[in-house]
Amino acid sequence: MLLWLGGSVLYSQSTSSEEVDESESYLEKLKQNIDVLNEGQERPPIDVDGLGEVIIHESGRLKPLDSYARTMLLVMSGRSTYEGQEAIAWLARVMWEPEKTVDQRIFKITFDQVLVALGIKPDKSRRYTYNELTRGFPVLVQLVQLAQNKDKDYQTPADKEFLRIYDNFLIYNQIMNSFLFSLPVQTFLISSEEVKGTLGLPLDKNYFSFADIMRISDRLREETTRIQSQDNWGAKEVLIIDLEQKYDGFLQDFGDLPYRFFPSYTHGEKFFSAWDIFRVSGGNDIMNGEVDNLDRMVKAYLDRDQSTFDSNLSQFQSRVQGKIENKRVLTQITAELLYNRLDPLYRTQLILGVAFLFIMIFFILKRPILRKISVWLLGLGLVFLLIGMVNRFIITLRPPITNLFETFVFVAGVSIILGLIIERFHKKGLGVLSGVLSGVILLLISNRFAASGDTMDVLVAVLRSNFWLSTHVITINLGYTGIFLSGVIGHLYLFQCLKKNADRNKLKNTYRVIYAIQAFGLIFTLMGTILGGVWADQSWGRFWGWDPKENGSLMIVLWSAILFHAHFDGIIKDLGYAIGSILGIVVLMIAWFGINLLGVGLHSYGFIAGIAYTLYSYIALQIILVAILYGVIEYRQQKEKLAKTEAVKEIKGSVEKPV
Amino acid sequence: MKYMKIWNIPFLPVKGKTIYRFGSSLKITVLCLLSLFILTFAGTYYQADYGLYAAQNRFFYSWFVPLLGFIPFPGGKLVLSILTINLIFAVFRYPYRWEKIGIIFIHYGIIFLLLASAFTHYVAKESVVVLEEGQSTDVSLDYYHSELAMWEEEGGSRKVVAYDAENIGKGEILFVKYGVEIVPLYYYEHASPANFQEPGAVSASGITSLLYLPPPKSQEGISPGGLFEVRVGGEGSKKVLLWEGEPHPFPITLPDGRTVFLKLQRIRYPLPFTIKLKEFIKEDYFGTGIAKRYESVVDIVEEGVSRPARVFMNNPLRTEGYIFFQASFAQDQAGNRQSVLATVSNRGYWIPYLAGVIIGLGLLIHFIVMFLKRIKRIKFSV
Repeated sequence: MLLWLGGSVLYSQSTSSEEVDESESYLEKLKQNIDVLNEGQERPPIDVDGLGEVIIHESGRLKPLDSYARTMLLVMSGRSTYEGQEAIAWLARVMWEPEKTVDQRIFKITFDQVLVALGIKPDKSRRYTYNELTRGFPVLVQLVQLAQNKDKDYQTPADKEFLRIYDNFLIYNQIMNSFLFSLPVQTFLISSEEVKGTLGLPLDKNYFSFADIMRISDRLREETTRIQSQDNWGAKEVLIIDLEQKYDGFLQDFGDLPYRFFPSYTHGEKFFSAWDIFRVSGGNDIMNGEVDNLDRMVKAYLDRDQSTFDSNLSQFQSRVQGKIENKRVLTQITAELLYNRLDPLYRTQLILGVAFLFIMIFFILKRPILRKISVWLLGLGLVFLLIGMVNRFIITLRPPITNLFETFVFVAGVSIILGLIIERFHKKGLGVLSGVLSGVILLLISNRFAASGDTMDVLVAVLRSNFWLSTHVITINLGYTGIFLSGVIGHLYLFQCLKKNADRNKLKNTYRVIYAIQAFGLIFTLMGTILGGVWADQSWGRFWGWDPKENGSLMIVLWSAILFHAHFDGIIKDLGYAIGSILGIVVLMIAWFGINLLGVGLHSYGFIAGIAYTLYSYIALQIILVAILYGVIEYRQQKEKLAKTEAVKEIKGSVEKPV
Repeated sequence: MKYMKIWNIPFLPVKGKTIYRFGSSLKITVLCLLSLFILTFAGTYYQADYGLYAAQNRFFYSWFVPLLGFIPFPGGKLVLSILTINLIFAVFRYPYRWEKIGIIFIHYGIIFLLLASAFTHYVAKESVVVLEEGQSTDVSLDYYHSELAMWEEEGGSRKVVAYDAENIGKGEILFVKYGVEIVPLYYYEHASPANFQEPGAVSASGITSLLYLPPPKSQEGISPGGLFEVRVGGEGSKKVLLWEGEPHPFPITLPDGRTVFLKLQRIRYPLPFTIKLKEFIKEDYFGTGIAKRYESVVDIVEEGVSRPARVFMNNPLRTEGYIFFQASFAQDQAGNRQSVLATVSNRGYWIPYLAGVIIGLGLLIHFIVMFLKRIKRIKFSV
């Protein structure tokens, strides 16, 4: 029941109170079962790298288990490794030695409120254990119910945090359960040697797993039928009947799992979990195929038997792969494994960081070679970013932008390209600096979105149109790039203004770059907005409906248009234009994900709690920064003017004096 | 800048020139754009609390809007009208030179777009068709507004008289037909049935009373109701509760034995054909509740001739000036699925497309012109 419950929470976030209550009693049961396991001696686990290549079906798509492990670890703990272990090694432990993971610091909780409410003592690492959460679980359930009864728009950040932790906790439970059929459990405690002998179970063991019983299930059935026809039951007979009932009842506690291992025989894309298979077909004949391999893998893992583990894993793999009809899946899985290992977007960030160092040193030392190196590094960063995008395309066969995460990656890429183009014309380091800054900032933002789940998630129905995804979405994001980059260069303009005796020509040059990039942004945002209208007309029947997302892009277009016309008319000068382009970033950010944070509209496609605060504090800081810079620049200019008039007076004075 | 100086045209009177110069002023353009920016921002935030419909009417489909509750601010209609006039004046002022042709195209396109939006606003009719599998209909329903309808069944067809619910005022006689007079005693814009018994009131579906509710965030969910006095040909009167959520109409027996029906319902617009939902398909991504696609398989029946058609996301059905979109779906507790098809009749639907093409062309031309200029400059410097 609990497993199914977790699934429903994960996908629809609506759980009735009954289900939550049941899950509580279920936890007790699971804990009992797990406690039994806490007997074995501690030996370092075997190498499970190959496990990552296992194909699973999760949240609507096929992926390697490695991706699932990484995403889950990132979602739960905010980190990509656990105490130096790869994500897959962490996952293997949670699946196969759940009892040894209950004190691992996995659940990241940053809200103090939440900790206080759950009665958890704050820890420096800001990560908490399964055991700690279990103690707070009864309170958590009540708080989650409270949050779920609220309209989504009225949930507080704390509510959202409770829901998030609850979801994570349940998923963690599901992972702990996913191989419970292979683990020796309290339920199947058989100490009577007579019973073991009758059923053909090994005499030296007392605790058995569900799979062990399944292997002898035919014998068990025979025995029960025989016993039921008898009148006189001894202790042995009672124990066997009891065992049979426990065996039948065991499955009822487990349902859907977050991920599934087994491709179906008839539909290549549909996968099932081991539990699904047990339920559909009982009997020991299923212990011959993949289930048997998995069971032996678990036993080998527990016995630290590397060679048995490896041989069963490879047998399992070849069996599963043989059943997959669509062979492209295999290419896709290979590509995704490569993507996970290479982590090209992370590498891009590292390279851009180094490029940033070089360009800053160039500004200080003025050695041309440093600028050249930074240009090459920026180019190298771009190459890695492109590798990442191509790799993602091979995996998903979708245009480059399908979700919020990918918009940031795409815009980062185009910013770098534009930065390189600017550098090609100006050769002063301005292009590199703006390209590096935009790239790093945008990729850092994208990291936050990656930490909220699978970045190659399935698409909702309205987005399933490659035509519109590759026209409207690309165009509007090209526009976003222009607005963003022009704002970044706007900052550089202000800093150039700050310098004493700023070079007029240099300033004019920078202004021209801002102007050109802003024009680029306006052109594409306008075009993208109109294309968006056409798409809306195609799918909802109205060209324009003042929907938040539409309003967002309209605001960008309007802001940019205001800048152009005001400058054209002389209402604002170059400095005003630069400041306007900086504030353009604020408008852009509101349109980009601020509007989504309002949580209304047909278009909203991704909410992340906490981002709202970051956004609001960014807006405040940005405006304060611009105000201060503007204040200082104006003050300097006034002083310069004053000094000039003083000088003129003095000259006049000195001329006048002799007379 | 070389302007085509229209104010130098000799026959234009001096006053006209001043007006012209004022009308095409860039300062007005900037002011309009800024106002629209503020309106858009305010309107978007307003939506979070009051819903899209309220925000549209308050900020964008109005001439004036009280900002922050009391500051009078030009509304969407006013700003866009001034902007349109300003633009029309301005395009005659442009320097008509080759390198500006892209910019000129863009502005012509925007004029087109603004005119199209005004046209659409006044001409287009948006409504909705809600069908269960196997059902058919020849009317579409208004999204937001209701009517009080009375009809008599005559074979397969109905003769309906209806009164716009918006205009229902207390105490006045709404209409007299078949010798029946309807007088509203009270009317709530949004209501729900309540447990207590309204003294002397009857209803078609067993409702005993109505409770006033504040209007919901999404106007589509509004469900009006009220208490009406029904007088039949001088034979005394009945107090009837009518609520839009009721499944059945209220039957009234006339003195001559005929029966007419009374119902509060969404305003109905006749379609020139019958649309029948044969099948509704909803496909989820396996193992999730995320919809992969939904599709309505329909028949369009016109003068006895039937033809099949499919409506799904990003693939509307266009026929006879009407367009049907797969907007959403609903499922009742029995598991019956309803398909919700948004229906638009808009003779001007192509205008924004044309405007889009003009603007796009302008942007493209301008881009190329700028690019060529850039190339030239590079050659210069080499």
